[in-house]
Amino acid sequence: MSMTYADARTDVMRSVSIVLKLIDEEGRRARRRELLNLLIALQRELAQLDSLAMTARTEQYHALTLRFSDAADELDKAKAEAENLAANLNLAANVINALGRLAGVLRGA
Amino acid sequence: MAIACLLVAGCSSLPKKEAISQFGSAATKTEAVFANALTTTRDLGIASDAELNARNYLNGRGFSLSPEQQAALEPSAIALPRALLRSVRRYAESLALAADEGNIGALEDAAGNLFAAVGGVAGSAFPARAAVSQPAASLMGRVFGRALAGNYIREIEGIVLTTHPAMEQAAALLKEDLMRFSDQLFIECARFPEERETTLIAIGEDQRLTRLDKWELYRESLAEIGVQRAGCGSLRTFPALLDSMVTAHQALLGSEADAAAAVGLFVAAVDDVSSIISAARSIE
Repeated sequence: MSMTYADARTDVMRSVSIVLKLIDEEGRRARRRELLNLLIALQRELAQLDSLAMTARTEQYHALTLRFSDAADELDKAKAEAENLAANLNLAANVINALGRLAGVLRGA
Repeated sequence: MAIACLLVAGCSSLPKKEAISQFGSAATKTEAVFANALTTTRDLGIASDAELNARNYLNGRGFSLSPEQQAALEPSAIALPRALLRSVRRYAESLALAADEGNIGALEDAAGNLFAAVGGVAGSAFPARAAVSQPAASLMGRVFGRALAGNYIREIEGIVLTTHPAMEQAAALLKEDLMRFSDQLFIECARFPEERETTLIAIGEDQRLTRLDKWELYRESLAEIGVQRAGCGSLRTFPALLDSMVTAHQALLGSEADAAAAVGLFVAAVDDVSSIISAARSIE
């Protein structure tokens, strides 16, 4: 029977708990050092398992990262368009004002 | 009523502007908090290794002055959630900028200016009707401005709405993977006091140390470990923080009161985790 990632991880974490408990109860320094080394080895095992599990989800992460990046671009674009529209409306107002003044001058002449 | 509202200056403040702005700040902080938690994990690992090397030096054994984390997740694996959270932060920042009241005001003002100019020209061309044409142009400018601002706000809300499923998926993915980081931090937190204790015993064997020296060493170690213990639980609260981020994001599409309440909870959750990690890192 093959072992799944979840099973393997549960086993490692269970071992970590046991080792931590043993360290807590152990009075002899040399033995504590051995148990600490065992803890480091288990942690290394856990890190490898977790790195593999996370790497397997690279596509999911990339797709979501891209989705938020696209949404940010859309927001930036909407903001830029609103700013452009406001600038164009102000420009049109200035042109109309200038034409109005010109018409006034021409009428006076 | 709507027309009356349109006629009253200042009636068109941007809905949920404050909540959107706070959401942006909190999302930025979330990314920083996560990065800090990872750094805390790494630093604890390095601190444990430093203790080991220091003891080796005291005992005349081989040692290194370049301590390293003995067991760490692959950098490429760590980069994935960090990039995702950075992307969420960038989105939230863009949202806050797009929702800035200045954009809405600029659109309304520009529409007002355009119609005021038209009204002015019409008034000059037909002086007899200036008393009517200029206020009418002003009113039309305000209505047109509101319409433009309304379209802009709907466009922003549309982007929030279509992004929400991605927000839910991101939170679910991160919650699952944060368990791994949390366990790594838990182990580092359990290991460091053990390493320090062993170092204290080794130093304590030196007969030249006074009882006061030993007492000071003990107190210093106790204080350092106590603060780090506070940081050790920080990642355990991260799933709740991510849930509050999703709730707050959804609430941005609801009423102003709901948005303010949900974003307030998100901000509080981020601040809680942030203060724990800041306290833990302040001892470095």
